[in-house]
Amino acid sequence: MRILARPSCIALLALLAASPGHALSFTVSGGWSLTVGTSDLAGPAGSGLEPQYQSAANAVLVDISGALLDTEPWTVTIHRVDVSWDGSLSLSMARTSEGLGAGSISGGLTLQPLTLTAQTLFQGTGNRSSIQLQLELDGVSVSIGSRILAAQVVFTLLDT
Amino acid sequence: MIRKSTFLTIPVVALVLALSPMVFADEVATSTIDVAIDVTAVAAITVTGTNQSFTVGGSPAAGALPIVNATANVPTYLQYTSVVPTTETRAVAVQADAAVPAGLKLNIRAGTPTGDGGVGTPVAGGVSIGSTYVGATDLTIITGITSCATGTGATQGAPVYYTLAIDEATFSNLETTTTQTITLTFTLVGS
Repeated sequence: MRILARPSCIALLALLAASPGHALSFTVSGGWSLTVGTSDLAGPAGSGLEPQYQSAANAVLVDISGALLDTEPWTVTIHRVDVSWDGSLSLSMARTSEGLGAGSISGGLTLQPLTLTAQTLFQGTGNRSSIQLQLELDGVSVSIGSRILAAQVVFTLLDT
Repeated sequence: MIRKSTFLTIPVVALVLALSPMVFADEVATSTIDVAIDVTAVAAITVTGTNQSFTVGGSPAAGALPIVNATANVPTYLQYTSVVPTTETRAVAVQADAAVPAGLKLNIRAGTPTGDGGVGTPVAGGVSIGSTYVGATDLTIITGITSCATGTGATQGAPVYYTLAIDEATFSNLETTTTQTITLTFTLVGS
């Protein structure tokens, strides 16, 4: 009986190996450090600060790898974790490139406000590298005062 | 033996197929990036309007003090932007590059500022510069400024009124002079 049970184990391993996404992973690199000061006045003395700022189009890079099939689907969600934030500010993110790879990618081309709950930014299939993301900050005003604001953007890769 | 083998294999396969969607439709990994915004201190101020001119001469009646006429009796406007930490305040100080001629005193008074944020409060009565003024001494005319923007319109900001008056205490030293120009400098200062 022990000998005959081996094909069962082999079948299980084969299924695990063939199961989509078993090795799917991603790396996210970059970030955004912004300084707002006198040069950001909207006009001469007496005027307020410019309210809106954008990072470089490639401020964040995402690489998705480990897909065994080009059709293996995945989804990337984002949410914000406040470290020292101001509720009057709005932080948004958008995808600015298709990335490279045999898979596909869609969604995320319009700025999406980052909230405290995860929301889908984009989705795709297979392996994609160098997916570029841009951040936008809106709502800056003098009322924020001189201070350092910080937040984290949490990316989650879902095997869908 | 063959029947036992079939019996063992089918449940295992069924179990894997049942678990597969549940395990692999979930979160695979998370990663985090940092966003940091450094809002630095800002102190910008300008004064709009025209130069103020006064003439001293004549008397309404014999024995009365001379008359001081302002030829441009309209306020100028201080327009400023201030960004400070919440624990700090600023003030607007004025300084002159020279004293006012003996027998005269110049009063500089700010009105209530307009704008967004903590635009500050005028010092009641303003400040006076007389013949004993030591050049480049700061005299505060607005206090309690925090983070604010007064606006840049023609009549936005803090109006500043100028009054030249006879200083009775030093009137005996008043002399006929040629035109004297005094330059006033307004500064946002820490307080």
